[in-house]
Amino acid sequence: MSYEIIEKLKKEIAGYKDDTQFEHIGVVTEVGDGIAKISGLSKALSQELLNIEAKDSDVSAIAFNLEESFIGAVILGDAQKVKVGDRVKQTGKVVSLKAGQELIGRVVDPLGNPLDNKGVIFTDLDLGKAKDYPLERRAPDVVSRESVNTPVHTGIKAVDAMIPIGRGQRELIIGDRQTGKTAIALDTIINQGQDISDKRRGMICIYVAIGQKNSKVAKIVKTLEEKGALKYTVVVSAPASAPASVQYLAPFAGCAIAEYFMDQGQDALVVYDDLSKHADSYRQLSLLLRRPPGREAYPGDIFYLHARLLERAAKMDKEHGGGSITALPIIETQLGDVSAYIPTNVISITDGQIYLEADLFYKGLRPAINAGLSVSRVGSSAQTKAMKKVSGKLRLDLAQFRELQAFVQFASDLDENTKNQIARGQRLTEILKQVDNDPIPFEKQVLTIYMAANGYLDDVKVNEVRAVSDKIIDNIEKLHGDILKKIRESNQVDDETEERLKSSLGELKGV
Amino acid sequence: MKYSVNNYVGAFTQAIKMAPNEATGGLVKLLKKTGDIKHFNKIVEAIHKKLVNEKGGKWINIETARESALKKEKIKHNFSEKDYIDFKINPELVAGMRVTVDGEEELDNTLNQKLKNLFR
Repeated sequence: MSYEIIEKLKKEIAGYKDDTQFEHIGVVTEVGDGIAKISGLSKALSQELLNIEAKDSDVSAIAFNLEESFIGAVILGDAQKVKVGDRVKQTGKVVSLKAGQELIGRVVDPLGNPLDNKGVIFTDLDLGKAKDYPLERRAPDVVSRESVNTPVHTGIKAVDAMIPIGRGQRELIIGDRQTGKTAIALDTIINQGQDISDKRRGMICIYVAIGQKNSKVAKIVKTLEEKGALKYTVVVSAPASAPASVQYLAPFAGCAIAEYFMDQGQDALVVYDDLSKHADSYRQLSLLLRRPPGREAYPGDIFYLHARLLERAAKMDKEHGGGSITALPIIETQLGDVSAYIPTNVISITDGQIYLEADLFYKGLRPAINAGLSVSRVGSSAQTKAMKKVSGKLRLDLAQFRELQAFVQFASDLDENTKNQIARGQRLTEILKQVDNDPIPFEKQVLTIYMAANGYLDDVKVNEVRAVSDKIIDNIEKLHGDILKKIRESNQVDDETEERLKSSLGELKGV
Repeated sequence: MKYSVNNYVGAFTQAIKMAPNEATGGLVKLLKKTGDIKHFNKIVEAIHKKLVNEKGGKWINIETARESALKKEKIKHNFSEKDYIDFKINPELVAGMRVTVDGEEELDNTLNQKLKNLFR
């Protein structure tokens, strides 16, 4: 053993090359709040990684503000170590992280360092396979993309039926605090484990926690582990206790990891939880760097910040590997105000939004999705034929129900037709309710919605609808499992399947 | 600081061309007025650097670990007469010499740096 060590040291010493040459340097002239002002380094590039030679160890920083006589840099490591007079050197690199398949199942910080006490991510052998991915990268161009054509099934009936999401889409999840935004994202991640068929390969999920409590992140990781979802998920965590610079980098790190998988031809799903806190951290950095504040004190380029992040979500064409990145950014509103600065920005950047309402949540309608304000601009082209067939009627029935419900409050005497429509609407609303962390497979969703929309549940009491529909589906799975299998594999309800479905539902109704 | 060092430097270098005799006194008065007199040395050094650069010279900083290691005259011969050479003693360097040009470019031939590189 000692021989090996000596040999290794000998190699190191013999291989040492003393190639002193002129280097560009700068000197820290001011430091505080995680920001360093550096004189010199007039050739530094924007977003370049700098190396501050602090007394005990080197500290990394990013060049943010390039001014006439100094650079405003954001310190990434321990800002306490940096002192006035420390020398700073350029690295010629931009911030990047090592990406590889080994990241799956791990919890990392935005620089790719492990946070889960499971040891190093890349061993010496893996390091050769791992690739450096810059956190900031240009979004794929139009030519290399293709339109969204494969669905991302969330396992949530209301979403998959009315607000379908496609692979490569950017769908915003927006709502007040405690309305179930993270739950929707988590259900989507969990559902990817069961939504695999010949036509849909599994997705690699990346959950980016920005400015969250460490306890919440730990809870999420535990849930993912319990549901078996961690084996295809990467968690990037920049908790509330992390410096603003680290929180600012987190979504870009998540996106860089997703790009690695996309470049491998795989489908990736990134959840940015949440971009409101990300905007806050960027505002903090910008104000400390003395950039001019704009509306709500956010800097002028806050739109560009989120646009360039979300534009990296894409569905690549076959010539470019055929991979995709689906982005689910989350925005927290204050008292339902969607017209605030950041919510309107992100609404306009994304391809649709799932709007969650606190009132609906407290009424017990969970997930508390406001179907009227929620839209998906591109997802319907990716929706399966089976879901399209059953959900077309659902949308219409629910819209009529909402209209009548408002009208009925003023009328006492109702005709039979109106009463039936209201009864149908109540049952449809009821079947759209579901608990969190229990996503429903797509074929079962199709079946449930088919039953409710075609009147099979009309004579069941409203409060028993869910239990009865669950029971019917259980029975169909046991007695006529091939129907579900056929819907799952063919993605459609053809005439033959529909006939068989009708007869088996009739059979079970009799029971 | 009320105004940045660069602003003072820019103003002074222009003022000295217009009124060479009054400029220095005026600068001191101004610094007292603005309360930036405590940064006097820093400002004067910056002015000095600017004047050296304007004359086509370079501001050279030479740091060594010990006084005895300095052979000032021999070193000065290697630079232009327009250059300003500032010698400093910095025991942290352990041995060797560090040369900095205009605060931007550096040739670090110190033992301290070599050891750092070895363990990096």
